[in-house]
Amino acid sequence: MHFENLDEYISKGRYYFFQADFDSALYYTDLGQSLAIDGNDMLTFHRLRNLEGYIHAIKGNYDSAFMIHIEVLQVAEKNDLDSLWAETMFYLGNTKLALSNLEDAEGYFSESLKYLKELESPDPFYICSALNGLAQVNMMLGNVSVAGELLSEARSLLESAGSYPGLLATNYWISSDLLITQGQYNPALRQLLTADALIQQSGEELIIPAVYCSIAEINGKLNKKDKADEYFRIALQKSQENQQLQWKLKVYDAMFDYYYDLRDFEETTEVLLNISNLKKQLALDQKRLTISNIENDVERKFESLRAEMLESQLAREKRSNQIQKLWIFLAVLILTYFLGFVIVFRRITRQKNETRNVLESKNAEIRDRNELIEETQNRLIRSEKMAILGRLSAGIAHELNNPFGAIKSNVELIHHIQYRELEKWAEIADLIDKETFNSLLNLTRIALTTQENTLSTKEERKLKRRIGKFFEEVAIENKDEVIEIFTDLKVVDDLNRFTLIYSHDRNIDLLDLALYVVNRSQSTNTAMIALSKAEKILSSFRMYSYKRGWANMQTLNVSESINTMLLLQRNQLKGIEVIKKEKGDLHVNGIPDELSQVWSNLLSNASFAMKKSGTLEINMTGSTDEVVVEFEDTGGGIHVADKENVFEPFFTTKSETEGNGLGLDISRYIILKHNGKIDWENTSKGAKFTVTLPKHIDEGSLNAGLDEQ
Amino acid sequence: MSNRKGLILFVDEEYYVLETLRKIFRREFDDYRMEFAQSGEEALELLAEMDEDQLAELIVFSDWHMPTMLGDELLSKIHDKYPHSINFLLSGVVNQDQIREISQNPGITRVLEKPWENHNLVRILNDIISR
Repeated sequence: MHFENLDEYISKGRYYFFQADFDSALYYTDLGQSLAIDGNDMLTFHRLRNLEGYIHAIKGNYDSAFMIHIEVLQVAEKNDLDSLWAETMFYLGNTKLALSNLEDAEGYFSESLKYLKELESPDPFYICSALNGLAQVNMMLGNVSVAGELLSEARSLLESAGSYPGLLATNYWISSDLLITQGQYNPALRQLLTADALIQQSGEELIIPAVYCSIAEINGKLNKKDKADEYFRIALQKSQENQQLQWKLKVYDAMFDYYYDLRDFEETTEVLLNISNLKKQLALDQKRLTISNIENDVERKFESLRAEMLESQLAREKRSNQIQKLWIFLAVLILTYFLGFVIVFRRITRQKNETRNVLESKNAEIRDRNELIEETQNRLIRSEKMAILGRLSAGIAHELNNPFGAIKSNVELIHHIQYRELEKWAEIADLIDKETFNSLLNLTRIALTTQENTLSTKEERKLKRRIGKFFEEVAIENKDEVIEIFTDLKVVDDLNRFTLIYSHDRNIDLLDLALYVVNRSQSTNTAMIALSKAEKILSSFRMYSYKRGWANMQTLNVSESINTMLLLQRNQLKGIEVIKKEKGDLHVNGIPDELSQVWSNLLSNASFAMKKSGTLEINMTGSTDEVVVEFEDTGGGIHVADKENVFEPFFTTKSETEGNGLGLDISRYIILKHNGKIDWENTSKGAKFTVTLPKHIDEGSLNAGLDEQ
Repeated sequence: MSNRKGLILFVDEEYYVLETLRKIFRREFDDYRMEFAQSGEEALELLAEMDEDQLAELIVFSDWHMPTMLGDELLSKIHDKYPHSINFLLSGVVNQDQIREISQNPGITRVLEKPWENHNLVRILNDIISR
């Protein structure tokens, strides 16, 4: 379909945008843009660009939206296009609002309104949009009355214009939010229902997830749980259908607050996992969010959830105390009754049975609660793993710089040497006789075979001294250089075989030729070594992040499991000498993934305590029944009043950004789950953590250690 | 036996990194002797064995993260003993704040990032030497 008037494309794009059909909206903006270029209509072209940016912003591509609007703004400024300038200011405000940069958003919206009102015939669409936006900003900044005024100004404009139902619905939605902040839930609900009616009538579904989410929230506040559940569900469904994942995230956030307030931990955990997954998806889609800030967010929410859980655990314990007291009281009562009033014995028995029924149902409730807590614990383990993964990936990026840098340098070198070699041959080919040439070939051949021995820098210096000794007796001028090249060639025996070469007028040139060949082969080798280092780092990382199979019980070697984590956390452990000692058979049955988490936490704690210098001794001893692993550091020890505190959740000596204080709590949980023990003590230089794992446990006996606790 | 005016010392835990540096600088600075060490301790030992005139000029390239002694600590020690030395710290750390902080160390002339460009390393050293 083609339109004569290019403005039609703007209307169409806008229409589909509000219908939340972004693909069609983009189709029309694209088509319109190419036609505008053909028709040399610069103004319309840039207005369509702006609309395209608008669509990017709603899909969460804030960066590209921002880039587009800034470009258009420059064009508007250069060509003195006042209307385009004013419109673009609105779009910029919209992008900043989406990024929660309220200060900038306010500036852009106000600027936009100022210029729009100066125009002869401003487009009401922009005025109303900017008014809506500015109202939202003011609401979020707490300027309730300003926000209210802006909203009613926009509303009367929209109502008199009679068009833009989507904008009017937005206006109602913002008004409802404003009312919610003032606690006026019923009036807010009425605004939302009006918005819903407008949307249903016009099909402009753009903000429908937001509207339904707000309806759900209000129902929640009014204690109508069924309705709240229902509307949250629809809000999620709509945001999914319309591919508004940013909105979906907002719905989940609201759901978290709601279910968390209800203390519905099952639902809250579910929502958290969904948030985590969705955020990961968004991060992948737009390469915008870093893994770490997702994890921080989830971690923070888990932390508060965790605190609540502990509270409820305490409450549970208190209750069971009360039940115990009740029992004692009942027993005394029954005894008195039995002795004193044999006649009413039957009645008492009946009463006792009733009480028992009540107690049993209470007990069942507690059991359910326990299961819920256990399930949440398992989820915590998974979330902690994500946090560890985030930490590791930062270190690994750094760790890979070394091998990749070496590969890059050596490939460059190979390339470079090629030319030098050719030049040198051209220079001296005529100056070499056949015998010298053969000797040179021989030297090169020998040098190539000696390259296989990699020497330490110390051994290399020894080699150099031996070569130097030989040349003491030889009368040549540039002795130092000759010695150096023979050292590089690693040729040291029977050097008098090469008299023809080192006594030659162009001895350095000749030796260089041999060295070029050797260097090329060395560079290839170095690049290969670096490649296999990189490969090793990556495969360890993959082993840790690979889920399937690893989350199940299997036989594993404790030493290998610790090695993987040592390799992955090498960066963190730099400056620290790690001494590993093994004795006996170190195989245990266990869940590799979870045990890795324990090692990772113990390694992190040790390296944190030692601050980049010290010794970490890891002693592993296997006997017939168990494997004992000791982590002994020289970090000065842990200073606490009570030994057990260390394992308590949120016990930490780290600052907020360095750790959450859950590491050891989760480690202990994992070890107890494996029917093992974890303990610690201060030594003369630092702290020693001891983990004891039974060698033979199966799926069935897993968790037995937890129940004993 | 030396007719050289100074020493360039490279320190990195990884032998293959030293090998690479060796090839990059080979023949570029004939007036200098090149030495290599795989740890801070080895580097200090090596320097202690040298005569004073061999160290008339001293240029050190050291990796930052090494197991037993960190590069900044090594360069500080070298700076204390040989105040005339020119010290480069090679670092694969991506965090700019950390790099800025470490640059304050008076023992470090300049922090160079890993991975490097071969010709840049040569150019930087050339600039320093010809000054």
